[in-house]
Amino acid sequence: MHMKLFLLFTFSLLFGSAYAQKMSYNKEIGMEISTVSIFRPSDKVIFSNNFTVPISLSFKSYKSSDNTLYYKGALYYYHTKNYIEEYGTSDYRFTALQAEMGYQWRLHKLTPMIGLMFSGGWSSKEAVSETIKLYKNINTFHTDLILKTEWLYTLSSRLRVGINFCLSHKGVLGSGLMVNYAI
Amino acid sequence: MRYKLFHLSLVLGIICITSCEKETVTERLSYYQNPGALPIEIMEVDFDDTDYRVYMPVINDMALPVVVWGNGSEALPDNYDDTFRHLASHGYLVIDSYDKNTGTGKTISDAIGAITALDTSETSLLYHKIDTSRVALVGHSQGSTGVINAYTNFNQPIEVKTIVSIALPALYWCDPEDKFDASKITTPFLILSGTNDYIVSPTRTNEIAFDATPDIPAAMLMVKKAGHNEIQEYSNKYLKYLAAWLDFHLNNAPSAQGIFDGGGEAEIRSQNELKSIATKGI
Repeated sequence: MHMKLFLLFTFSLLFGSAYAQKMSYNKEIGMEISTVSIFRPSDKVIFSNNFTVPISLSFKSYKSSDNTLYYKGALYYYHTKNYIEEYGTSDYRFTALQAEMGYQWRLHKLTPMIGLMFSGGWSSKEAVSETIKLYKNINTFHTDLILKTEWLYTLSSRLRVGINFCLSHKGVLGSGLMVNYAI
Repeated sequence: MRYKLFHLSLVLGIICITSCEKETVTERLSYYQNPGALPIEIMEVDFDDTDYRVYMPVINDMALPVVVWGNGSEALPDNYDDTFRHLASHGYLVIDSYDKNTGTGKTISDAIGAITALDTSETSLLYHKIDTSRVALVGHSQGSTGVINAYTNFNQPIEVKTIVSIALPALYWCDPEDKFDASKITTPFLILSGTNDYIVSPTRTNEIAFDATPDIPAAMLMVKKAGHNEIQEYSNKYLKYLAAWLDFHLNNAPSAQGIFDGGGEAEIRSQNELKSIATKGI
């Protein structure tokens, strides 16, 4: 309870700080193929045995000037599901609120960014395997502090593609391919 | 407009967080939540220069199933008095030492040796009172690492029927000699913890232990709003699950059937107070 209120307070401060700055304001919808998601389920019983399609969707609202600090808030959704019933069925969902701040450099069409992200989210893991009589329904709240770098390439005034790499304070590495569309 | 939406989402978030859920306890579990019908007695026992406190039901001519307890850090039998009374009233002999550092499993292993010796000693108050074929190891916090270590690192003279960990600490909280390896457990294993115990015994820690166990019957229950020392509270939230699990594995009791077993239909799945549930091999 105290942790959740603390997170709400932190998010409020970060958003408030971003709005108070005189920076350009942007909104983007992003889709990411998480080649190695930092939020992947670490279940060794079912998820590691199955082919999964990890896709995450995000809605990002961010403020930035051309060459310096940026603030970003995102609603992030990650879903992975297996499709091979031989090993059992599994379904994993992760929904998070994320606040990020860092530096970016506009180099013509390329925009490298490096930032620190705080992520707080809820995961729901359901797994069933009749062969080993496994029934799992795990619901947890995660908080992660993540060092992140993104390399975005501008294709058009609205469309950007990129790649990201991240490292969480728990020592988990992740990477993803992104498509962002400005709205 | 966006300010209004932002504030609205904050208010909704706070409402969601603080809303209370109605808790339900089904009929079979309510039997285990209530104290049993048996009168109990409490005695102090000395064996091999070690003092133990024993809780047991007053039953004549019957060998009792045994719970060997592992204390959490700095805890003594008094801290678990209500839990021990509850188990004894349901028919169990509970034995606990006065050791405040049980993590290595040595004291718990000694207690197993004590009950086997006391059961066969004609001068003992526990002579022929103990059924050494029905023994469970149950521990809280450091004691939960202790019961695992007692099972995996010491040769026991008896077969342990089940192990129960309550508020199992994450490995980084454990002293090097207390670290445990759940993959070596080869007897049914119940993992109990609470969602308010997110610093010492977070869900992930308990899930790792659950996943690590080989192909044995295992269950993991995370109880909402239960803190690290919930098991020391009067009429605590763990009692019914603990008593039902013991009855299931030590006594094969019909009243405990269908609570943990039955896959998706198991009774524990209808408990609103459980945030996370996992079972396998049951």
